[in-house]
Amino acid sequence: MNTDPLNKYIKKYYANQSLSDDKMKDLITLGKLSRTEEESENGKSSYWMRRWQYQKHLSIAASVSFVIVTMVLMQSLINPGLVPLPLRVAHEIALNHNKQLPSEFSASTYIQLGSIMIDLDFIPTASSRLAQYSYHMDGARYCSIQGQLAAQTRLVDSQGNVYTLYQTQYSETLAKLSESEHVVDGVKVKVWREKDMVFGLAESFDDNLRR
Amino acid sequence: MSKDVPDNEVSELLQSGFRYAMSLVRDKAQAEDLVQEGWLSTIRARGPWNKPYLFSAIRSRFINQWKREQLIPLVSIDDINEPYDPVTEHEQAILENDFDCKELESALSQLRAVEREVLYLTVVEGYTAQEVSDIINAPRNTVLSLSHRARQKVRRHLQKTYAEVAL
Repeated sequence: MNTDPLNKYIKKYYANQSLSDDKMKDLITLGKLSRTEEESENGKSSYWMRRWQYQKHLSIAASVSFVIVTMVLMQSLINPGLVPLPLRVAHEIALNHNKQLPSEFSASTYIQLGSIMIDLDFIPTASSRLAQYSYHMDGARYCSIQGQLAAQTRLVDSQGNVYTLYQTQYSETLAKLSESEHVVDGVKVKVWREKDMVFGLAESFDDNLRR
Repeated sequence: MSKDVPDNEVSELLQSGFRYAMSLVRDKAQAEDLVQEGWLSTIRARGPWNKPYLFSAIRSRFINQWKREQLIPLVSIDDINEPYDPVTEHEQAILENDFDCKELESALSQLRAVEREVLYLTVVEGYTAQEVSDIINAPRNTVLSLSHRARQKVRRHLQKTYAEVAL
């Protein structure tokens, strides 16, 4: 096999393929960040510790879900028809957005976020819908959408307007979720699906909620 | 990440991961995404910081992203009994004198992902058929068959291309 002259050229071909310098730098930095976190934790982040944190997040997610489900059920009683899924999700997102809960994690890129939010079943990514806008990430926290663990990132645009971007994995629960836009409790909520993810963007109309 | 892994080793590991990803997808942007996700997964698992683990992480993401049936090698074990085509003098001359990376790229594009993968792992990484069989979770004979078939396809493509040029 090694005498085949093709080998030399296949090796040469792959040797010419290289990660870009920027990407390489990002990935090495990512590894270093994780090392720094590891050291600062001083071994505290044992399996059981992480397990406990996961359960804590699940408990919070379950509590939030319970409140949302109760609200939806009450609304369902008032209105004869069931509240459609996009509206339920929009209500949930608006509720979370209005709480203005502090960020649990400090991160400025999705790569960093992916290495920190280890309990997520997916890797947080930027939405291509927002690529045209200028904004920076100002932290993130866990949340839930329809009982599914989700990431909630705080985005600030160049005018200081605060947005909250939610993302979770596309699932059977969210299968009937169509692209939609709603205004709930003074919050404009856009919901859409992209690749295997569901995104929700919340923006307050009330200037007091803006930084 | 382990303190003991110096930057240059990390860099080499990531380059290998990227080249392996290139053998699966052939598209630079997609390969970068795959290696990034595989790397994140390795970081989350806190190692091990070696090729087999990173390759495995990259491969599982590749399978998640693309339909599995495109990757499963549906090659009969009997195929390994096909006679090995000896390299002709003409072919040898092409490879030694007129070789063009773009032609090889074009030839590799004719292969299925799993064929390119086997070729990469055996030729570039130097894994044995048994080691590749463990990585791609396929019988050793299938690996041999895939490698043989991939080489034949590449060789035929190059022969055809250079014959057309000669005309």
